[in-house]
Amino acid sequence: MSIRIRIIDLRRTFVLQVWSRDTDRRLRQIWIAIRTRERDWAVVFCNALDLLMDTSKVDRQRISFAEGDGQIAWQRTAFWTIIRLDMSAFSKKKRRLLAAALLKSARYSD
Amino acid sequence: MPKVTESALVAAPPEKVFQMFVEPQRAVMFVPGLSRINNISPDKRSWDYEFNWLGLVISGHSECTASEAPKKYQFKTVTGNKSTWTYRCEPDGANTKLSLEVEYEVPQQQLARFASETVLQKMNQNTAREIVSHIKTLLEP
Repeated sequence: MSIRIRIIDLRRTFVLQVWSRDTDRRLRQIWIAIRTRERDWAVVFCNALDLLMDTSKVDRQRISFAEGDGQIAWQRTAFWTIIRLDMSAFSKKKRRLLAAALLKSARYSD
Repeated sequence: MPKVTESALVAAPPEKVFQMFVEPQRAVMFVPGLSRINNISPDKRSWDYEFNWLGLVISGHSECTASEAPKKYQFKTVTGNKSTWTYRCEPDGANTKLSLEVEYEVPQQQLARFASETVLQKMNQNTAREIVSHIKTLLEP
């Protein structure tokens, strides 16, 4: 068997990080997801948090995790979705890793 | 086959560390560049993977070859350049010594692109170091 190489990933959602503030106590980021297809963001992020072994609670267009010290919220517009991540729990290194993992989920999960 | 190894002391019991490996999809959360795990077999012993490397999507197939909770988890990539990944969890007081060993075939055709085998080894070493560091970070507060 051989590996397969593709130049274009048609299943990917284009998600750009447009703003970030990372202090010793808190990490906040804003992402813009271009709407090429409908996505159930609650499912995307709850699955990611489950894989990260964190419990999450969905409240309409917002998920809280890390016992309420982490939040991810999304707001749909006609052409894109604005996603806001806010975390004040964990170490700085862990916050960065969780943010990167959630961003990866937003881009690649189905 | 050449191999690289990395280890770290994780402030968590071996059972908790081992949980990171039993769900194949979880690897996306801590393996750099790994974007998707698909087509997981019901017994979780085989799956397809996709890496996103500088915009290129590289996909292949993996098979679990050992799952001895909570001590050893091993899988092989069976497409393209073959590699064997072995995670070991050894208790160390209340902590766990986590080690990762990656044995890999040197890709002869691609070798020219990397200039030398040493550079390839360094890349793999860095990847293994990042993986172990990410697991430690995820499992600690």
